[in-house]
Amino acid sequence: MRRLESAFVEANRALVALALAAIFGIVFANVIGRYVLGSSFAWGEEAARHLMVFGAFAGAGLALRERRLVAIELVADMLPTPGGRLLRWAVVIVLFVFMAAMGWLGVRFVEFGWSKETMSTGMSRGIPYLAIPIGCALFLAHLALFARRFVDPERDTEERARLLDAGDGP
Amino acid sequence: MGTTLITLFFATLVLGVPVAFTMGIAGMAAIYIDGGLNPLVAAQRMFAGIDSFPLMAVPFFILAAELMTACGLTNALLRFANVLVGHLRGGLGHVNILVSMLFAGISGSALADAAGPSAIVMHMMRKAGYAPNYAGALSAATATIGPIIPPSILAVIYAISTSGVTVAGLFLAGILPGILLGLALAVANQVISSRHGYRGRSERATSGELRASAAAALPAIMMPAIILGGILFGVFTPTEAGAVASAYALVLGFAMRAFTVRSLYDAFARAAVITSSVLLIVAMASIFAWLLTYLQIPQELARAITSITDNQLGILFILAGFVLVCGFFIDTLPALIILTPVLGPIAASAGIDPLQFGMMLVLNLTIGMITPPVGPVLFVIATVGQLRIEGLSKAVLPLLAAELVVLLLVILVPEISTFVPRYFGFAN
Repeated sequence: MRRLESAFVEANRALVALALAAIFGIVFANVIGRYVLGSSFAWGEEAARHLMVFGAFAGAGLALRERRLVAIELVADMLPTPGGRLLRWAVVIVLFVFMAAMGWLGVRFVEFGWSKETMSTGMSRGIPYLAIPIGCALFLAHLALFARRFVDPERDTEERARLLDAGDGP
Repeated sequence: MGTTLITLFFATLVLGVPVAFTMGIAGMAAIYIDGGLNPLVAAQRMFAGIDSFPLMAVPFFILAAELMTACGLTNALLRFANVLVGHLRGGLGHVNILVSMLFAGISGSALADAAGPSAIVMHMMRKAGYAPNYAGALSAATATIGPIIPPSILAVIYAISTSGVTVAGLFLAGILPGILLGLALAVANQVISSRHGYRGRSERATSGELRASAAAALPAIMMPAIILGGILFGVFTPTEAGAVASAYALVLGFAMRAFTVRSLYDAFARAAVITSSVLLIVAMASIFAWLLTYLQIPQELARAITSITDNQLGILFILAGFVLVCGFFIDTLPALIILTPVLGPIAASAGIDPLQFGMMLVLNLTIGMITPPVGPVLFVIATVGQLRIEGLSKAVLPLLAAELVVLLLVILVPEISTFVPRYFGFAN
């Protein structure tokens, strides 16, 4: 189970890293193209934008796991351990319900956009909208696997240590 | 509906739900409970909130900073700063300030600075005999220069949600306030150091050392020159500048043989996850901000404020006070996304230049990063330095005062924000 989980995490990391690399490649190629070749591809901007949106939602679960999603944990930290755990379980449930609802809304949003076309590539709008349900599904999977460590931060020292030498954000 | 929105937002916030989600939860619940709106609008706002080319500057500048760090160039900047100002009274304190200013030209984020160069100098300061709380407080304070000196993630996000302002214009607007912030902290450090007898390095660096460290730091110092030069001369947009900066860092890393396949992959993966955590906030806050506008909260607030005064400076002071209080309790980025559409129109109708208002907003909320109870930079420094928040908060007070003086100047003198962008033709 543990190995399956880390394979899942690695695959998700590779997915978002690849999306970022692709965005970078497209935009940089467009800059070079404009100055060196005198032309750039019109679809580049749209493709890059949609890949960025995809990466944003697809990385949500990883951001939770790496504790990069800032939360105010003052109350949970002040309560004695059982109370704090109970509160953190409540947070897990709230997150689960919300992301499931958002995923379901996302599916309806994809259906809504399916028959419309995007501006420059002319593909179905439903395709980029898939970012929301896919991202929510990945997030729910991470949350289910990670919930017990989320509730017991002490179990999570290894991942916390990794965050400390990495920690950044806006 | 407005009451549901605000109540749920604070309830989930206090419960400990990640800030990004609190806004989505409150927004979606308010839509469902009210029943008057199609819930699809939540998904649509969320998608549209981040489906933006100018916003793409955010992942690129995060990536550029990650790649620069993987190159080891942060350390080169640190040595250079140490050679330049390490011998002054309170020397390492000044090094801390200068390195943050140099790093700010590469990174657009205060947390990146706090966990990176600021944390390193904090340890150096403690070894040299500075009080741990003061070393931590100064490191936290200097980290706030990151989002003021361009590039800046906060500037990108303000600019894309305000009409009539460009990302380039706001980047340029940050230069003078960023330098003032550095100077104000240097004065504070000077005073505190002479009171506590913190000394600098005993000898000045030789000109040979100076040349060597400057040469080593030059590739890193070139980065802001490329970014700003390219934007100023219209060679590329801020988003493209971010991509070029990343490409530059990649070329440097390969030329210096600083990358392994693993470190390169890790830099991309890490930048991608950090990007996701930032954009998720932007996406969710878009639902929230849209609902506030839909409920006509800005108009009501505007009426309330103009009933107090119709003096331009008076209005700016009221807005600044409001933002400062919000900065205590709400994290910087969500506060920026929520407050921009609410307060921006009030400032605009009072005739306040959107560049000046933007700078006031960004600086004000950034200062909120080092104030408890919700001060993310303070938390990072406390964790990295194993300090208690209480002691750290007390030690940060004089530095906070220095930063508030800069905020006051930005409010009183519009030219501090508008002169540079006007001079280069990037105002509106």
